Amino acid sequence: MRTLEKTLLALSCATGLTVTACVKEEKLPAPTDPVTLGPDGKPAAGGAAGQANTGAGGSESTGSKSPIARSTRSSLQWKRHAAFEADLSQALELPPEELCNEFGADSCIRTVHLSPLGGHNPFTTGLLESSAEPLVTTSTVVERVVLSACIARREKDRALGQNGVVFGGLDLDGVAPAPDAAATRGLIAGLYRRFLARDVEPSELETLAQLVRDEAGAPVSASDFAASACLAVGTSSEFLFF
Amino acid sequence: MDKKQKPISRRELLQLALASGLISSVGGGFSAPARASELTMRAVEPKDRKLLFILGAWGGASIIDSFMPVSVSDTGDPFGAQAMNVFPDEGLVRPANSAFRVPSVLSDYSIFAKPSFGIADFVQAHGADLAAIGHEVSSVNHTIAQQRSLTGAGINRGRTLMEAMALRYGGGMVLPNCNMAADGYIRHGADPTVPTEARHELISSPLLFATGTHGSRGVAGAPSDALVQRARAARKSLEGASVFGRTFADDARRQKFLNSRETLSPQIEQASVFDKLLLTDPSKIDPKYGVSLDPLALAVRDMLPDIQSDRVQAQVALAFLLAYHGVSTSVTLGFSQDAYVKPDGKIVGSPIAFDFSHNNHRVTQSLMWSRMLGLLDTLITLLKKHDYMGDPSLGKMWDRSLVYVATEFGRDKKRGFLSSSWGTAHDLNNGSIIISPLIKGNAVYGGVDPRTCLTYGFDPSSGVANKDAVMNESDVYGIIAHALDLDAPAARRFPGVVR
Repeated sequence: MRTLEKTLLALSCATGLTVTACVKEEKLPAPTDPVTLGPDGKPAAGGAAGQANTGAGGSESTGSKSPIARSTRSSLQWKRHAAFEADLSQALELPPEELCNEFGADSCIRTVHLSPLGGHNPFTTGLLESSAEPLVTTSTVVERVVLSACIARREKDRALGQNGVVFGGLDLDGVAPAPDAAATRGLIAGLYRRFLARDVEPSELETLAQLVRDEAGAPVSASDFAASACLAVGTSSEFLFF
Repeated sequence: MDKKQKPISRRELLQLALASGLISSVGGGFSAPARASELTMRAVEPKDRKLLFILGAWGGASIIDSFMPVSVSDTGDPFGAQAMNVFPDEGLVRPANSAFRVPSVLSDYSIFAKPSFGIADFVQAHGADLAAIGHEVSSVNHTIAQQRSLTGAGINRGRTLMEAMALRYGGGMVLPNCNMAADGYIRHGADPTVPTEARHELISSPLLFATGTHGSRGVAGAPSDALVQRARAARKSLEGASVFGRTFADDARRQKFLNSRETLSPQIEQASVFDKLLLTDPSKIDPKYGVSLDPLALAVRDMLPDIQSDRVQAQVALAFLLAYHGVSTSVTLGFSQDAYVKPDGKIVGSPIAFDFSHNNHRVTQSLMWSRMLGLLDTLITLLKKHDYMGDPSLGKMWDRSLVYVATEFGRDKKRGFLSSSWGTAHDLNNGSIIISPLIKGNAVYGGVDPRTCLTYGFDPSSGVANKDAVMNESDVYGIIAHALDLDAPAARRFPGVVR
């Protein structure tokens, strides 16, 4: 009977009838370590490669990080033009019409790049339905819109000086602060709260703090650092999907 | 004596499980539904590429109002002809050496502007490469019929002609299949194995489409390219390290997006299509943006005087540039439902395009055919003039091009007795036109029954008209697939039409 019981259990597990008895311990992938960017802007040798996870398995390290369970039934939604515009507007405290206009004239989100941003316009263009999936140019367009919005915010904050809404902690007319400076960390932490509504992880802070330097290791302008950091956070998949 | 009950054996248990369908009998295990794996696009040398241009004639462009008209004399019944959609004998012209007899420009266009370019003008310019095909369609619903005009009603595994082109010639191209049309003309095909890169890229703003091909070019105050790359590298690291990234590492939509961002987007940027495709008014670009129009783009703008206000003129310009620069192998253009009113107030395009025939058939058909053929004349002139990718060794673009005017359906063949102005509904009987040096042009394939104004088909092997032959969307698809050497095994071949 013991053999028969085992057979029955195996059949039940295969049919999903008895799930709890069938769950095996899964080995979770190890979290990636903080990445050091080399002079060429690519992950330096010796650092863990910060690749987008592609489903490769791996064991969870028994280090300080708690295990992260991979979602097995995820169905992330693409943040389309209206939600994207609203969230970006809120994150940078800019009115929608100031986020991005191509050559200062035509709205990026509502007109020029409506299709790749998942919009539709049945009247003018006959686009009755939005695209079901992001287009090939969607990621490029998103970068362009976010970069424009970040720069728009930056220029407003430049005029506001220390009272700048997002970049007030930087001297936008000077060089970028050191990677471990309070201004650097404060900006990055602020961007995470604004775009992703959470605190930045130490490893993430370390990665983004290196944007204060160029590929040769020289300090960049505070202006460029502001735009670069804002671009990196604002175009993360965590902001673009939900 | 009672039969002693035996305990159920393993064999019996398995048999019961099989019978109940709990396990598959094949291999003794479970099989998950197979996922369709995407096809791989193979790269093709520029010298072997072909080009397809499709213009979606929204609303029902009637072939008997253009390239297969019927005259009163043709009917043999002058009285009965007054209730049919036929033309007075003097209303038709036959250009010299042409197989086509076509309607002249009308004398009165009601509220619309009289066209300056007629159907006869198009025949004179491009008639040698022009074929009209009599056929029927299978739907009088706009959206469905539009889609079927591009899929051949599903003859090729549900793939659109554009997808088939991209699969055949688009490997290595950054945007092999671009679509600026509307409604059913922008629906993807039904074949799930068609890779993302072969599906069309929707373009909503032809003049400024180029700006969407680069993440920072033309953005005032942007960091240098090197710093933007550095920010991208940091972002890539964060994607793999964040809790969000690790939790949703297996999400298909996110994976696809990231893969596109890491592989396709850099290719598009490196191809420098931004500078090649920008078409907006150069006088309105502030120097602070650091961009200017390519000389070829400026020359194309000069050929299209209303490009700033006429969306379809803008489409023509972009379609040419996409093909010229080797960005695309298939470009789809199309009318939308908006009327086109020029800045001077003249209405040169009817609302709901050809479908305004519901209100005024004769005027709408003449107006829209003239407008459409005028636009195609500009496109074909550009294709005849320029070498593919600017390389004389590759020959003129026209030598490798095919233009297909896709439309939903025909219109009613009858009118109110003696009506000079009437409306028409949708009709399954119609025809299409193809213009290409790859086909035997200056020919009408099929014909029209002058008593009913219904078109009929032809023999595919000889091209000879056959009054008993009924062609349909799949045959139009087959002609195009044959001419362009597309992979369409279920479609018929047409040696009588294709060179």
